[in-house]
Amino acid sequence: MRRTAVRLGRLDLCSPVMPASGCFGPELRTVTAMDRLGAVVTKTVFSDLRSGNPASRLAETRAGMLNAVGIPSPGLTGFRERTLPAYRALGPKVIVSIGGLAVRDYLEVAAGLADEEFAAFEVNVSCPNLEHGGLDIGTDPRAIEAITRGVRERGGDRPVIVKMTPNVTSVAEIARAAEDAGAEALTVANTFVGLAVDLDSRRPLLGNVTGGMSGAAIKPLALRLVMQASRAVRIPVIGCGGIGSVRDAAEFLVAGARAVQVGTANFTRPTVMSEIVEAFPALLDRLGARDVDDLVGTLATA
Amino acid sequence: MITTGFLDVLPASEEVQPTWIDAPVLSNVHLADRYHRLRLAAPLAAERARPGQFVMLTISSPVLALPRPMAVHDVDPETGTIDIIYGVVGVGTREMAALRPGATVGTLGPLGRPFAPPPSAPGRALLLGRGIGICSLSLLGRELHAAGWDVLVVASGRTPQAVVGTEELDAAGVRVLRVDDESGTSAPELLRDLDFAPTYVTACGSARLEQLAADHAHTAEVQIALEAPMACGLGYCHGCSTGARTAQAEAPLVCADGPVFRYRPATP
Repeated sequence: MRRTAVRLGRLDLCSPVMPASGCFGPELRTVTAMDRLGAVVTKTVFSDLRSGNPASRLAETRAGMLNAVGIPSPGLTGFRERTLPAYRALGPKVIVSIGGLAVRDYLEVAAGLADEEFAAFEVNVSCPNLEHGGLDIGTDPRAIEAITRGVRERGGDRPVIVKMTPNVTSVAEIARAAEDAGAEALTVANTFVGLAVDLDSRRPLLGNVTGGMSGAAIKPLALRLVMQASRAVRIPVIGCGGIGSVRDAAEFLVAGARAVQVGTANFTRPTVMSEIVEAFPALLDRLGARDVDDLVGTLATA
Repeated sequence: MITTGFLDVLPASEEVQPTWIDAPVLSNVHLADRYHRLRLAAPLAAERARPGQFVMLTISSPVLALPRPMAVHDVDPETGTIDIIYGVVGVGTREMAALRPGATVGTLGPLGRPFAPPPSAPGRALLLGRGIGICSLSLLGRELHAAGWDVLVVASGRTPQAVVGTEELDAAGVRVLRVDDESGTSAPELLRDLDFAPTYVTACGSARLEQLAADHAHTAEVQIALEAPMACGLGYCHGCSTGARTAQAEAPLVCADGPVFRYRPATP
């Protein structure tokens, strides 16, 4: 077995590195190697067509960015006919990110994809840019339980990964709710709600007023959440937030993650994920670790 | 961006095959006003870039998260170089201006749908550009001229010094009309009566020039190249939605559906 292989519940991955939903697409196939990624993660799919938010949708901040894209979606039909086949042709295992504005929306998408071929669901309960659903759902332990259970039951008995919101007081409570409902793993976390101001016009830079903050600037915030979440549950945690190098990735493993997602860094450097995968064995050697699992949760805080 | 009429997505003529390279900086010189010219060694991009396409440039920096989309101003497939002209307007382009030979710039491209001149016999092409928008038209002007078109490029800027990126057009024998705000020659009412009767009109770099181009839409093919902040440049992040009027669920993206769009008037 490869030293970089990891197991997330029933999900066996050849590497702990995968893209964050929305920060990756089949369009990258001519740009970077993908065969050694642990998985690829789709952009969040909703049951219906969605147009997303009005422009402007992007604002760069210091060492980071805000987005208010608002998840435009091809809907279930377009996803099954075009999006999913394009992801499956890439090679790595496919994790399908699903979204909704209410609990029943998630179950509808899961049921609509039950017969398709892919490895796992990632339930996006944490997009900060939706009209009224995502953030509220992601902060409500009862909704998390209902979605996790429902997607497991209707989605063809696949592993369900819950992508957590960072915009809560206690990440542990939400993490335990997902675990109790049978989540296979947690992704910690999604973007942080932020605001960018244009001083001359005194208007927000984003059409949606607020947006989700990502990039290197949020790494310490995400590391803290990973530590807290991973100590609250027994299921594995996928770390996500500001990872742009193999050292960043290893820091998340030490903090408690068993795998990592790379988001904004894919924009900065489209080859970054394959470079991280390639650099992992040498870093494991340097850290005196036999494999990735040797690092997981080894943060000494006592 | 122009707000009358529609911006239709041009058919994809050939699949875009972008590549990524840490491209060595060969030169980076100040031209005039706020404008600089960067030459990168990027052989595949130089070979593949079509008029109107762009590249995403990543400058290694602890404070920048996003690459910058830049029109390909010039290419030399034989030496494998691409040239970009940029204006220093913010933190990213300030860092770009500090690049010296020996540095590298992450370069993704070529990207986007190129200009698609009407397949008719060579006619008269009017190319309207302002600021670095002129650079989006540079390869097109020369290519049309070489194909036998009668080409007139209107190059507009705030001041005479701020009209940059025209020397290759001059060298190729393309007619260039330089206009600027300082002398008042850039006023749209003056540019409306050029006595040229174009069959193909393109615009890039200003809403006024886009409108001027749109005014020809009943007698000419009109194509408009848009600019927008981008994150991925390839279409997967959906960050650069045009917000244009369309029947589709989502407005087209500047990167993958554009940057060149066909203008269609609201009243046929």
